Amino acid sequence: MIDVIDLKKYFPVVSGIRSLFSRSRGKVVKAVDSVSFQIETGQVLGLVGESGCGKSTTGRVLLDLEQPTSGDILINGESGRALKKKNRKTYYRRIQMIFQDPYGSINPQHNVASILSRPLMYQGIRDKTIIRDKMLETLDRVGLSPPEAFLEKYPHLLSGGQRQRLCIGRAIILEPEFLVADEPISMLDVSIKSGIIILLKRLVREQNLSLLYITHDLATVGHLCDKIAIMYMGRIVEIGPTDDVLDRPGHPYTRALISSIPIPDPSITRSGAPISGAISDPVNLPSGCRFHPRCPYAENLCRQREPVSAAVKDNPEHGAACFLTDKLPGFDLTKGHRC
Amino acid sequence: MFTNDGGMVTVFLNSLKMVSGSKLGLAGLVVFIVCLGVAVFAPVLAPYQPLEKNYDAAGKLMKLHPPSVQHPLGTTLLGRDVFSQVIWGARPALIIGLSTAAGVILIGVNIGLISGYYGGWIDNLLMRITDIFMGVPFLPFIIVMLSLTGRSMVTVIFAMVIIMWRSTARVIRSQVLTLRERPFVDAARISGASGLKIIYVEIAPNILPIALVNVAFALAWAIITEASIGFLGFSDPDVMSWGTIIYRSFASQMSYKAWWWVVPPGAAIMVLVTAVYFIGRAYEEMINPRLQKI
Amino acid sequence: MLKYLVNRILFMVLTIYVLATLMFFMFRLLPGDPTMTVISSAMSPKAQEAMKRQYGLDKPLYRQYTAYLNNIVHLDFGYSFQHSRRVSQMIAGRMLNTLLLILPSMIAAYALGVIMGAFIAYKRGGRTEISSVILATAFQSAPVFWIGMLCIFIFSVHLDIFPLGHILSPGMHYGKSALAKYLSLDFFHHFALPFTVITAYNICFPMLLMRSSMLETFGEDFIELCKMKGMGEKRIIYKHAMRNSFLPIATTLPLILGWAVAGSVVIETVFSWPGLGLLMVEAVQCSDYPVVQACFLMIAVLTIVGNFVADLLYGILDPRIVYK
Ligand SMILES: Nc1ncnc2c1ncn2[C@@H]1O[C@H](COP(=O)(O)OP(=O)(O)OP(=O)(O)O)[C@@H](O)[C@H]1O
Ligand SMILES: [Mg+2]
Repeated sequence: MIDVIDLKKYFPVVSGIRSLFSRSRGKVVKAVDSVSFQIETGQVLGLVGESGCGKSTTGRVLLDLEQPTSGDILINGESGRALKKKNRKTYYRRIQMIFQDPYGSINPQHNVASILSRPLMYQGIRDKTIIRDKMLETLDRVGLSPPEAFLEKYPHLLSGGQRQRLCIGRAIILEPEFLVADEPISMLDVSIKSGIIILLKRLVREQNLSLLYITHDLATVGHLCDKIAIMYMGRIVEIGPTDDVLDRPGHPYTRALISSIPIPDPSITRSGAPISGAISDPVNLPSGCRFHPRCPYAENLCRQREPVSAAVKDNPEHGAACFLTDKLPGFDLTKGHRC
Repeated sequence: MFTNDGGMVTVFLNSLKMVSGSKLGLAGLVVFIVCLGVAVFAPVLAPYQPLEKNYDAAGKLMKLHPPSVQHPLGTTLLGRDVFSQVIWGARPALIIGLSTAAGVILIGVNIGLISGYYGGWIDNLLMRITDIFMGVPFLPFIIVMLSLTGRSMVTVIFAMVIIMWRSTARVIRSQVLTLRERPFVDAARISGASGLKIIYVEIAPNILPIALVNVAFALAWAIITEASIGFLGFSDPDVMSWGTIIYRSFASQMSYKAWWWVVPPGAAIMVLVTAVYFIGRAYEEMINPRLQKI
Repeated sequence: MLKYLVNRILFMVLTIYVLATLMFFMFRLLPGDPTMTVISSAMSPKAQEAMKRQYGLDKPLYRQYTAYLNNIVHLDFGYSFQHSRRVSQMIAGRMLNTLLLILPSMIAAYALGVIMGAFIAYKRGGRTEISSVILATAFQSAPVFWIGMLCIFIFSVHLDIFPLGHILSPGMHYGKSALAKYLSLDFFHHFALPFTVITAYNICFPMLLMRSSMLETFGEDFIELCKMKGMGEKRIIYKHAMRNSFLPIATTLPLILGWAVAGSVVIETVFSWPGLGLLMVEAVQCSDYPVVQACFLMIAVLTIVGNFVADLLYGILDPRIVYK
């Protein structure tokens, strides 16, 4: 069970000595602003949003690749903050990440064996046979077989899909409890995307881990995710079980995202307003609800106060941060967008 | 030091293979190996001792004899055999050149790595120090240092290393600045790697090719600088280096009467340094394919 | 921009200060005691004391250091051990001589080097390219003092076209005006050979760099684009490729300038050119340390100012650089 509590990450607009003199002194980009969510063991949460809304930053802060401004994560009840303080290395036994770019995230100078053995060695495992067995088992598990054939290979001999499988192997070799996957298929060929999704799904089940699956593409989350969270400008605006969110979206932004999924069948037309306008300036956030400048339903209240998350259709699992959830016109989205 | 995969040896062998793929690179490699051979087998190859005074049949000192069968490159004012001196001169040139290049790379690469990876005030401090070194006029500085510390080969190497690491450090740092933003560095960090591990295990192998190019250029530059120091008369007086041979002829004011005393040592420097440059360039073109002819 | 300039100038001053301090402590702390050369132990103890007082050597180290810095600020380097003249008097004219030799030849070398580099890049793949690359590399690999000696041997000793060295023929007088001296035919006669040697030697580096930089630009997409647009090849080279290739060369200017100034030590020795470098070598040889110190600092100042000017030039050339 993963519990992320009120996570915040603010980037200063100017940094260093120069910030003492700059006019933008003290201004920040609220890349992640009070994000909370839970993931049951063996479940997948999809984190969806437009480019720049703070998805990757959320993942990086969780992995301590960026210092959080505030907030914490509980991994099966243990505070991440305390774990990191005690020993950074062992923290990474419990939480791992898969990066977006399978080319950039593998060191071209290392072969498969050394890529896979490094995490084990950093964790203090020295026994050669244990390491080798573990590597072979992992390669097999991520579908790189026969595993012996891969050990000595250098990354430039691997295809994009094989590279991403290797990255997944590197992430699970320490048997973490929590895995963050940041758009793991967005840079791959269409033909191999589904293979990676199926692999992730199997690993979550077999290894009993929690997966945070970050994507900007709503169309793919249905296959994999048990729950989804919709993010907009650093905030989670809607969260709930996948079916509930996709079929009964409680936030206008979610509706707009769903409407923009292309439908393979041209005879079907969609209701609901498409999204209009561009994302607002992240430094000078709009007053009230962050989405109001682009919201077709915005009222005065939306401009003045910031909404908090409330249950949608009395479903406690499903929350949306919108004053107008109950007043929104019916959302009749023809099924079929989830192929 | 770099990886435990034998990566460094692999990279080195690969680089040799790459260099010999280009005609000029191969030529440079051959010449360089010949020079190495000459340095190693100098006692066998040289017909006379470099400081031995030669007398003719009548027992007269062979002052400034032009080239002959006995003395293929003639003799010096003190009757010493120029050919033997040039052969022996390969030793100090290569010993000083290689040690200097090694020292320069060791310091330059490490400072570049640390400065580029850690950034912040460490980077600021190291780069300001590098900038200050950029303002040091190298040959005058070396001369002052040698005049104060004595003139052994070790002090010559030390004086050159102290000055020459600066440009290597800059080149390496700028490479590290882009490398450290690559996702594989983040990937290493979340495997539990410490800062030093990331620097030496993840980043260093990726700058090895550029470091090797720099070895070549530092070597070339060190050989020329050593010759200049010799020419100004600040080398170890007991070691007959190519620069010192030219210095002796220049100081005796006989250099314009006896060309055979001046031309061979200078030509030897030129040939060796050209070979080193060709090796470096060939390798540089290989690792940066855009430099290749289209 | 103004802030950048102020920063940069402050840093220059800091660099000079650090080097001056380095010099001070090198002379005081390294094994060879420079004072031993003038204050011989053969003198009577009283005379030794008097000498020490004269050079301020009886005071504690930090007092000597502050006095030294104070003197440097006033461009006072004390008296030469050797000539009993003020050091500042000795170096003033020498500095001008060094600049007169280095600056024109560096400018000529860079201008010619860039043009020639562009030309051989244009001839890429042909014989011209290969042979120029080989020649330039070999020439650059030879020690410059050796090339100078060969040129003197050929042109001065054998062909007797140029004088053997020095800046003016001995015994010539040009009245009081320095300008008349430096505009005289005699000066140019002496100047021609070292100028040509330094220029020719320093052409190689920018030329080879320009070639590889041009070849790199040729590969870039926009040149393809130009070709598709139907521009003639010559026009592409001169208008686009050259301008784009020039920047990486400009970055090397400070480095090369530094080498050239530092290298003046050997060049001036070969040509007996009475500049700072020659003065310094002579002073080191007879342990005239006040002169050595002054020469070193002046050469350092030339190097540092050269770097600064080159940086500014680069900023002017590259529109992408904004001074912060
Ligand atoms: N290191 C940083 N310094 C300053 N601002 C940053 C930094 N990293 C991210 N940001 C800002 O934080 C915001 C969120 O960025 P983030 O990369 O998390 O978005 P994202 O949702 O992952 O987008 P994408 O889909 O394009 O990957 C952006 O406005 C970005 O400019
Ligand atoms: Mg992202």
